[in-house]
Amino acid sequence: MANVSTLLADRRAEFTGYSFAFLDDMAKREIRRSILKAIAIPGHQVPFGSREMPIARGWGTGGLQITLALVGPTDAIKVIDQGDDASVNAANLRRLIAKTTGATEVYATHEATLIQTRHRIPEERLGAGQILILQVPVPEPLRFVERSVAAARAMHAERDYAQMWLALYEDIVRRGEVSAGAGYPVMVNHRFIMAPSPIPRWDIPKLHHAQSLFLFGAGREKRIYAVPPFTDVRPLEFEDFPFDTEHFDGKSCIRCGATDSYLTESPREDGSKVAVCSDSSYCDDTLSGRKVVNRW
Amino acid sequence: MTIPTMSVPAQQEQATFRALLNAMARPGTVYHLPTPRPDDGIWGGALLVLQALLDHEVTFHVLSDQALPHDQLLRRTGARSASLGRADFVLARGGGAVAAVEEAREGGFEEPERSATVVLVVDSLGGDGVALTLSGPGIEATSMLSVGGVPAAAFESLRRRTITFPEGVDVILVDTADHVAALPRSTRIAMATDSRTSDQKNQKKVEA
Repeated sequence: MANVSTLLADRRAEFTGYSFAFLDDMAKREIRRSILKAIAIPGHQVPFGSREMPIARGWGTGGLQITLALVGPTDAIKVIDQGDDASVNAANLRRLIAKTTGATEVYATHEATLIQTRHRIPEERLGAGQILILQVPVPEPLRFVERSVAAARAMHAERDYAQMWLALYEDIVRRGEVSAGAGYPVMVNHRFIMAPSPIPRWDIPKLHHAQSLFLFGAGREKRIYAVPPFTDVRPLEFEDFPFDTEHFDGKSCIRCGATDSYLTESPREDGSKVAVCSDSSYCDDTLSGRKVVNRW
Repeated sequence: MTIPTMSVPAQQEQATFRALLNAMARPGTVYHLPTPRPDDGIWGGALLVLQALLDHEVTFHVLSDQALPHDQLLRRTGARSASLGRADFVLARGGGAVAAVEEAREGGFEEPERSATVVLVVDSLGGDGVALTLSGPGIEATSMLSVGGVPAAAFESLRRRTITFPEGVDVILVDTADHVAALPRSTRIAMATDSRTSDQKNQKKVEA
C-alpha cells in the first residue's frame, strides 16, 4: 500500500512546471462556458477572457486556447497554416499541444480528431467525429463598415445589416466584383453575419450543412464563435450577382498533379511561378495514390 | 520534458465537457457522461456537468427541496448561490423544470450569451415521456428525443422563450443513467399531439 512519502515522490516526478494542456483549470472552464454559448447561438461572437499564451497575440492564440480547452490525451491533433502541416507556426503550435497533453500529432486529415487551422478548411470532407478550430484575426464582419464595437453589436442585435449590403453593392459598382477575396462574409442560420476567418472563397461552401463542428477563436479580440454541424451558412450575394469561388482553369499542382484542389502560387528562382496544392495532406494523398473518397 | 498528467477531477471535467460539446452541437442526440460519484444519487450526472463548468466566476440556483445538490455545488465548485432570475446556471428536477425554464435569466439581444444555462435532471432520455421533434442547427433534418419526468409545460415555455432568438435559454438534460442531451435555444421544438397524455403520466413522477 502506498504511503504519503511515496505518493509525494510520484507527484514530484510528474511535476513538469505546466498544467495539462498548458492552461489552468479555471481558464479552461471559462473558455468551455463561452464555447457552449457560442454553439447555442450560431454565428454570434461570445466574449472570453483571452489568456496570455507562450506565443504572441495574432499568431493563433484564439484557436490555440479553444484547442487546449478541448483536448484530451487520446485526441489526434493536426495543425495547419494555409493548409500546410509543416509550416513553422503550425509545427510549433502542434508541438506545444502534444508536449503538454500527450495527444498524438498527425498530418493526415482523416486521422485527426481536432484540427486547428489558419486560413484554410481541408480539402477532404470532415466527419462527425472531427472538430475544426479556426484562428481568427478579425472576428467582427462589420468592422469595415462600422468602426464602433458598440454600434456593430447593436447592428447584430437588430439584424440591421443595411450598411453591409450597401458596402457590397458599392464594391460591385466600383470594381465590378466583391473585392473580399479571403474571409468572404456569410450569413449563419439566417440570423448573424459572420466573418469566416480569412479562408479563401473556395472553402466558404464547406461551412454550409457540414457534418463537423466549426469553432472560431480570436485571441487578440477575445471572441469565440461557432458554426454547428448542419447549419445554414450562405455567402452574402445578390440575386443578379451570385457568389463565386476561385477558378484554376488549366492549372494543376506541380507536385501531385491535382486539378481539383485549392492552388497557391510558389515562386521559382528564375522569377516564374508554379501552382501547388495549399492543402499538404491532400497533396500527399494524391501523390501516394490514396483516393480521397470524402469530398465536400 | 515529461508530459503533464491530468488530475482525476480534470479528466472528468474534460470528458464531461466533450460530451456537453457534442450534445450542444447535435441537439437531441444522447451522449454518455463519465461515471459520477455513487453517493450523489440522482444528482450525480448533473453535478458532473456543473462541476465541469462552475467556478468562482459564476453563480447558480438550485430548485429542489433536497439540500444535497446545493451543498455539494458550494463545496466543490467555489461558485456562489444566486436567485433564480440572476443565476448563470440553474439546476432543477421534475416540476421545478417549468419555473427554471420560465424564469431563468435572459441575456437580451445585444448580449444573448449572458442568459442562463438550465440543467434539468430527468428520469429518462430516449424512453417513455414527452416526445419532442427537433430541428435547426446541428440537426440534419429532424431529430427525435423523448424526455421522461419533465412536464410538457417546461418545453412549451422553452419554445415560447426562444421565439425571439437570439434571446432564450439553453437547456442541458441529464438522466439518472448518466446520459446527457441538450436543447440549445437555436433548436425548434415540436411536441407530439399526445403530449397531454404523456404530461399527465409524468406528473405522477414529479418530485413533491
